Amino acid sequence: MARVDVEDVVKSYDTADAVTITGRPLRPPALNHVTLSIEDGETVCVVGPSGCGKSTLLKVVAGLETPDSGRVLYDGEDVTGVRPQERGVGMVFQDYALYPSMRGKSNLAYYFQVHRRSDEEAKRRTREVAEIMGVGFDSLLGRIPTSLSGGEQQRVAIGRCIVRDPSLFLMDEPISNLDAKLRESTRVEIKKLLRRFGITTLYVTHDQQEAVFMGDRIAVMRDGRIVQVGTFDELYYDPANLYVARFIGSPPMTILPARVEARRVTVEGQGWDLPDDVADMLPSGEVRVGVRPEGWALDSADGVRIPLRHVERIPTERASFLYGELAGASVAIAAPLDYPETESVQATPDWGRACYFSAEGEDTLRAPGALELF
Amino acid sequence: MASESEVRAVQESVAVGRTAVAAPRLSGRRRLESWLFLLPAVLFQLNWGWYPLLAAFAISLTNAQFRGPVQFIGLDSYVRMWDDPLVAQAFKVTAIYAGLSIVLTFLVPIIVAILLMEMPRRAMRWMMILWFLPLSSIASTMLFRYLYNAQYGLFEWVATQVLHLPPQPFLNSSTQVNFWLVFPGLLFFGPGLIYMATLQGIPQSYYEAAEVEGAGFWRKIWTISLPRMRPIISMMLIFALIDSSQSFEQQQIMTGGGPGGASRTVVLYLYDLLQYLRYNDATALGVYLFLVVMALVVIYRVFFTDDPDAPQGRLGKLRSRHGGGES
Repeated sequence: MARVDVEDVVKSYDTADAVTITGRPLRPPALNHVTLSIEDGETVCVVGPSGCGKSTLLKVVAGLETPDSGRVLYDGEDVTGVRPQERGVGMVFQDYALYPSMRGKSNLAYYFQVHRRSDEEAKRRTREVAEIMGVGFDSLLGRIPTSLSGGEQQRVAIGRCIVRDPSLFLMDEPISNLDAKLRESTRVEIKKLLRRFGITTLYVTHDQQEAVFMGDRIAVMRDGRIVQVGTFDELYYDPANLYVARFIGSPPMTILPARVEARRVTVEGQGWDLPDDVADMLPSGEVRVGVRPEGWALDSADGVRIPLRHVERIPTERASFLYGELAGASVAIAAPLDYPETESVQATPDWGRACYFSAEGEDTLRAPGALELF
Repeated sequence: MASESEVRAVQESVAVGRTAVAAPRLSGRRRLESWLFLLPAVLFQLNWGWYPLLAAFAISLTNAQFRGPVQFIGLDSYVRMWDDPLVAQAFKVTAIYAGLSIVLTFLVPIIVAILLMEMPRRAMRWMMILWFLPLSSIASTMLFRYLYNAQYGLFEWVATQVLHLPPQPFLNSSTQVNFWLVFPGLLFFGPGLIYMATLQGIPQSYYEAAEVEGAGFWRKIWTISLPRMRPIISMMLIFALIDSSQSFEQQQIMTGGGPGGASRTVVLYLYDLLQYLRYNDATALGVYLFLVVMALVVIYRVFFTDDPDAPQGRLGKLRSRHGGGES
């Protein structure tokens, strides 16, 4: 169990590592003054597009990379210069990284071998892990990694991670290499494990849905910086900027160019009155309005006509999504499952629940804030 | 509808690379076309591969004279070669040379490649360029003949003027000659490059996983680098074995087999025999060499497998049987 604090960490990669044929591009630091704290027993998911530095952050926390400046604290203790093996972390990798020439159980016993622990201890722990990992795990242990499927390899890798009782789990896109069906079940399995152990976890992924499923809190990264950290609701209803608003939510938020004047908003020549609390906060002039799929009133009298491209029906959510285009922006609208197929739809954004961003830059002018459900 | 377990099974078999469905049979026309495509290669192989091999067997059983009728003389040439002390010496020289060249140009580059991977990228790239230099083997051999020269060679100068040793005979010493013949290969030998390419293909995460678990430098090499390099090492070892047992040019150019036959390899002796027009003896010797190399390769293939994960060879089977008990 541990609380982890990352304090103002900067990490640049050696430019010699990044030599290309045309020369050495000056790259921004992989981590640019990153500060993040993970509470004891909490799971924090780091999401962001590839190359945003999320894996580097994980490696810095693991101790595989040393930060150029800044500190990493475990339970308030500075471990910045401590080698990874002394930190007691367990790591799971995207490509499983099982030792290729060893059977499953040797993979699990590797740690005990390295640390010259007794065979009995290794065996006892392996047995315990097999019980935790559940049905069929035993049969995987006698096999060579290459003869296992991706999902089976990842189960062994997770087993190898928990066999030595780490105080911190670090997961680097553990299920991205699995096919969709297996991803689903492995996701549930990992979640169950995290629940059961209550171990502090840093979970890196590029898939926001995975992050929502796994994480108590989510950190959104871009270009080596953490843009926003918060629960899903905070990110969804109160995005720090346009980037987070676009990144979180599926289908993504519709971003419409609009004009605010005299407490009215105009989109493509059609105008609406703004609610008072919104109008108070918005300056006059060009803005961008972000509307979530569920933030539309369908077939409203004052609606704008939106031509539709296609309709996607999702029975499990008792909903369908209407995809179309308005003012040059892609629009996604949530509708009832039995909504009829039409060429176009008349819809009004719920102006009170929309996000408003400045026309230039990405600043949030107004966000609706989390829904008060109770 | 397929049950989930069936779907899983299919996914697994695809993942492992087994094909459940047999490849469609080629139609007659297609089969003809494929033979047409193969024809040039087959002709070449028959003409310059199999024909000389079989012809050598045939010739070695005759007196192989240009003039007069060719007579079948049975195994006379083989007996003569068996009794020839120079043949025994030539095999001994070849064994020494092959042993040296496997240690120096096969084993050393593995170690160097592994260590180089730990060096700064810049040093690594320079070494790769050095290994990749497209050197003509004859030209560099000629150059080394000069370097080894006992009167005015560079090495002699280094030995006497820099290291203050007594004058070294280099190629003129029967004990040193084979080492110096192998030495150029240590500096310029392709396998190093191949090993480094293989090492670079190992995902970084393997090492990171081992590091998190506390593995040190040597353990990482032993449990990750070497197992992953094993198929390549195995293949390169066969090449090294075959190549070094047939070495000829360097001895021919640098020493001519001297001093006193101390560097006269089997192929060089075979070449000498051809010079004396003893074709039957030469081919018989060639057949002996062929059998020895073949035997080495077979022994090697039986005891070592290419694929570290597939227990196919004897040792692999033994290991897997043994591994069942270990836990």
